Amino acid sequence: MTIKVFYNKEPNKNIVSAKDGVDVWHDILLSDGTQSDYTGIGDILNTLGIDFEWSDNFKNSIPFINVGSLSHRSSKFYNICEYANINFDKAIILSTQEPWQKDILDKLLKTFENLFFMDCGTYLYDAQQYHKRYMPFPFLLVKFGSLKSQITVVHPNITYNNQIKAFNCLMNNWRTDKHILFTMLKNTISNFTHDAGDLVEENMVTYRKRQNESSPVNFSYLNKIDEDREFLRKLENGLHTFEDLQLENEVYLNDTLGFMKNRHFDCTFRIIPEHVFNDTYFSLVCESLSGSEFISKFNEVKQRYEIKYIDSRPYIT
Amino acid sequence: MLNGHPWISYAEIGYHNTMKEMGFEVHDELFDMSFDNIECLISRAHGLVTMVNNLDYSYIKTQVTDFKSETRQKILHNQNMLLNKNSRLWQELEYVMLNYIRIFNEF
Repeated sequence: MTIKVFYNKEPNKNIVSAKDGVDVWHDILLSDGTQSDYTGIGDILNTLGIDFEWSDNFKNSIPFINVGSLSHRSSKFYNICEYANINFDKAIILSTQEPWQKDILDKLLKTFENLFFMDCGTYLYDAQQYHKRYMPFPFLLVKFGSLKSQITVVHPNITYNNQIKAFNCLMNNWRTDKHILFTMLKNTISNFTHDAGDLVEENMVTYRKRQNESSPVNFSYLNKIDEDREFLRKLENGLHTFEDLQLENEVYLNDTLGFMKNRHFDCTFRIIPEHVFNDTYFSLVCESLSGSEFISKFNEVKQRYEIKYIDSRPYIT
Repeated sequence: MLNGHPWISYAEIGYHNTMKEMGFEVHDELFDMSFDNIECLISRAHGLVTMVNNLDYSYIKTQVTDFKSETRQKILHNQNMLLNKNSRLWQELEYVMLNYIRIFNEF
């Protein structure tokens, strides 16, 4: 089966553009002052092995409107939904970069009955759907197999017999979840060596300070926070005292392409120095939290609580 | 995983179980995974970090070094899952996307 994907400007271009507020990786300002209007859906379909062709007739094709990292809570996002609602019989509002939360999705699904919403959440077990028009899909996982979506460097010859540290834990940007893990590692004395250093000092850990220090961070949503006021204080102190930690041998892309000079690890340039894997026993990965909703149900047979996800399963990045 | 390294994650509740459902092997031969189902974010981080800090590293070293070990078999399995486009993972991803497209077209 060959599917048809709608375009309104030219194939591989997004239906909406940066001036509408969308924020798509690879959508860059060109030398002539115009926006490239890159979308990514063609790369995704190719990577999945799904046959498709482009069509300028929305009556027989699928309009994928890629909003990228535009906040689903913003008025610009809502405006794009209104645009799609008015201009197409039906359309898919897409982000291959961000997960969306159920409280907003429910409102959008109710308001726009002809729109489908596809974010980069993880689909439910056995491809079930909590709502027919909500279609979470782990795009970030797929992008590792896409030549066009990102540069991924894999080391084919890592060694397993010269470790000098217990683990690596690389956190490239600031997020609440990363701050929690870093704070926990920083406040735990290592048992691995007898130097009595903390787990950050004794291992290979990176951390990025929060960029916008003036904006408030609300830790109050953390469960049971009242029971652990001391840790809450450490979290808040860390916001002001933690410094950037980078690898000693950070890899930079000092490229010949001209526009990516001195670029290092980011969302479309995935490279970690080989020594990180050679020098440690395992990788402690801090995944981002998407806000997937779940209920904790007691299983009478197994006599234990089990997790049942409502909208999408844990975020995989 | 792509680089062939053992891994464990601080992530949303039930993350490792979800990875198993998708066909990946988790390193439960190295790590006690009971922290994975702790609802509270902070308690989950505490459970994970405490577990990691109390590991028997002589056992970890044996598992990671021996190419016939369970750990190394899981590493190979996970790499194959990601790199082989005919793996269960990629087949499932294609199926899910095609199913979404079918639903859209039939709407």
